[in-house]
Amino acid sequence: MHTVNLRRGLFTAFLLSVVVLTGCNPTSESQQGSGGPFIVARTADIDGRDPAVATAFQTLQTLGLAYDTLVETNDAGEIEPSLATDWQVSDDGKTVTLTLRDGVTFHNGATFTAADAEATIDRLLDPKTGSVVASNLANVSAVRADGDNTLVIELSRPDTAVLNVLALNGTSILDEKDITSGAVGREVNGTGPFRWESWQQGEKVTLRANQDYWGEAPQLDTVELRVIPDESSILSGMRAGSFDMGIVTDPSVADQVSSDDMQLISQPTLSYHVLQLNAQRGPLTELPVRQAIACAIDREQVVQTAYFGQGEETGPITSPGYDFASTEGLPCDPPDLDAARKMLADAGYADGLRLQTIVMVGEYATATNIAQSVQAQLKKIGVTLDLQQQQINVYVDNWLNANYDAAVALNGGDTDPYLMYGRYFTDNASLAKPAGLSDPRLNQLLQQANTTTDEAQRQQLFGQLQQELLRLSPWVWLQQNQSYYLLGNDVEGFQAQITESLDALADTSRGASG
Amino acid sequence: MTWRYLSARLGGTFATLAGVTVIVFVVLRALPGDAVTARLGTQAGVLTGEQLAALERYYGVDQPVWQQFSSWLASMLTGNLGVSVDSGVPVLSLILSALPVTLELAVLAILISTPVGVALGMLAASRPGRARDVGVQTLGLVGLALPEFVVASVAVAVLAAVFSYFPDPGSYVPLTESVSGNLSQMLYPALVLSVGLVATIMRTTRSAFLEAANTDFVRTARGKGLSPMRIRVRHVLHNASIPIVTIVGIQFGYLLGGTVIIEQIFALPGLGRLLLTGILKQDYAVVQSTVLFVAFAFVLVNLLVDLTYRGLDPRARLR
Repeated sequence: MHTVNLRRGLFTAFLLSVVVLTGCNPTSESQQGSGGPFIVARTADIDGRDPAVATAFQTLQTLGLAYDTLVETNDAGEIEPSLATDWQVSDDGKTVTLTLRDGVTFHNGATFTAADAEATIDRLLDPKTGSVVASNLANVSAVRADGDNTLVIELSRPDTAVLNVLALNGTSILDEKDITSGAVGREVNGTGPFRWESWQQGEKVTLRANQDYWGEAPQLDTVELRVIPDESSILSGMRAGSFDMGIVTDPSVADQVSSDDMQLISQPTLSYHVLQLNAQRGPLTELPVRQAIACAIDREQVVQTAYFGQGEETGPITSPGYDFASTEGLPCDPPDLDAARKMLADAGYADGLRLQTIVMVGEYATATNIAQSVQAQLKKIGVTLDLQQQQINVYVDNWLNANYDAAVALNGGDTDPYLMYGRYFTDNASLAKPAGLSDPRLNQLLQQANTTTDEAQRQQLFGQLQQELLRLSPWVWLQQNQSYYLLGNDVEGFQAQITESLDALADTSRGASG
Repeated sequence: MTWRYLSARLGGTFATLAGVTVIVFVVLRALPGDAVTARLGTQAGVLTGEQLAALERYYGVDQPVWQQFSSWLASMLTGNLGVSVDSGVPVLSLILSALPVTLELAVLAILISTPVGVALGMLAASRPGRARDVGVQTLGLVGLALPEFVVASVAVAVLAAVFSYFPDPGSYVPLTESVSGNLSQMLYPALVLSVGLVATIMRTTRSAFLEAANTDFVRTARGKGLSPMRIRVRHVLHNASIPIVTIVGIQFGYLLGGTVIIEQIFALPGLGRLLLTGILKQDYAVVQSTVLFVAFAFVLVNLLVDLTYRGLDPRARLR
């Protein structure tokens, strides 16, 4: 009897302690009420503070809040003023003259002048910086400040896309003194709408409104960008009302959002899902084989499988402002399995063929679904994809060396078509290897379009480029990537952008209901 | 006797650490790509040769591997654990800020799982083969079989729905700052970690108990007319404690490096997250130094367990 009582007592005590402990209902002190910081949850931390060498979009979108660029691109893909108020391209297309904004100061109080812009671009061009933006500025032969308010960029050949490059976060304008002192990357001193408050690595970045901003100062006083590695946890946090905004990319997470809890913005991004074919290898060197593969793939079905039908099929060009039919030029439209089989048979592959296919796993949620959907479809024409799922380091190594027959890829896009494909399909392109195909016609169209500033002509040339890419089928373009922005019901004024920029946080506010 | 024992153990410790050092270094270098491609991804392809060379120099991967090893070892021996190339922060300060999280997680998990595991093991052993034994054993099997990440993911989903809890490193506060704030973030992951631990400890306790319960001195104690509870606690538990202490010690050491998944799912800024991020970014200094640190801690804990063991069991001192 004694024993039983003691044992029961112990057990009750244990149960009680569990109840008490789990009953410590956590309440985050930070949220609720419009006074607290505006909390943005996303899956990854920034990986540095130097915009020139940043490549991760989390880093770029964060630094974009603290730094400004000379110009910006809007949703229609047009160039708009930022630190530069006006710009002129000379008749020969080789001199770009920018007029810079007056009365702009850096967060440390220093006045912004043309010398800062000059030093910034020179730093990008310096090989020691190791900036990926440098390849887009390859035609810049000289940069010079003409007085405090004028910047002159000399080009070795006409390069229309250079203005789009000046809108990239990678070309964010730095304080010349920070460049000479080596403070860039350790301190964040920009001219942007938010000041850098702190970075707790792996946890959060805290920004404060810059009340001296040259534009309209942000309404949000403090913005915290938190790292929540798991997208389901971001959704849970949004449901619990602990975040004001969550950024996710997994369609299956976005699919669970119900409209009562929060607002959901599905935003296509510039990056695109594509099945890259390696036209340097085996049967893929033959145009009919590549075209047969393009004919057999039903993009609509890929979108259904990987994105629950949300999202859009895409052609090669995702730049806003260049809205071409996504299938015009394809060897078959709509997809045609019989035609595909016949093309393969005529090319001598009636028995089918096998393709060693690399897939990057762990970086984006839809990789495996897309790979398997494409695999199942190609199976029908006897093309077998041997899928090799690889972590990013393995994948990148193989990708850069074109060590594959096919690659299920998520490639970055750009606001200008030349910036998207110049690095793949021009002569001496830096990514010629993974491009897989070198074709004089593609090179010519790209170069020509980038030489003219006449927009009608550019539309026509890039339209042809898209058709040629679809006809030559070096790759099979599938669909644009999607970002999902979860917003608290009281959040107003936020606009998602195709560039994945968070600049709209400067116009965002929380309504009274929060 | 003790001196010889200690010096032999220390020698073994040193050999283990040296082995870990070499293996980690070699395995890291054997991974495809390097810090440059890990950071830039496919965009590394647009860099010119000159730019690549400059970056490789910056990341310290331009030198031959043996030279990288010797310079790392040399700075290691002077107490300099290197600098994270990813963030520019000294590795030592990264480890020191991550250590308390992992340590607390491990301590909490042990504090929760030991009493529960021992109690359940005693319960099962008290009527071997009967319903309660089968019940507890089945629970134990389930606990062992359920992968940590499944328990953790389910726990997060349920906790979010019921307690409005969700993992958020931004709201992590050290124990010294706010006990309740800290526990609100740490308790759930510790509970999840405990699931597997409880099962392990329960099974060890049960078999140790059954073994000790069949010994002559227990029969004697029963013959003397001692109460069953007194026999269980004073005689059986005391003698069964040696394997229990051993298993708890080993589990604790394991936890110091084994909380990677839990820390990832619960978004805790501990050693596991540090290590995982370091590997993904191929941040050599961070991975090498953190692994070495964890290995050192593991070996140290094992040594302490052995010493405790010798304290608990007079027979071990003679060996």
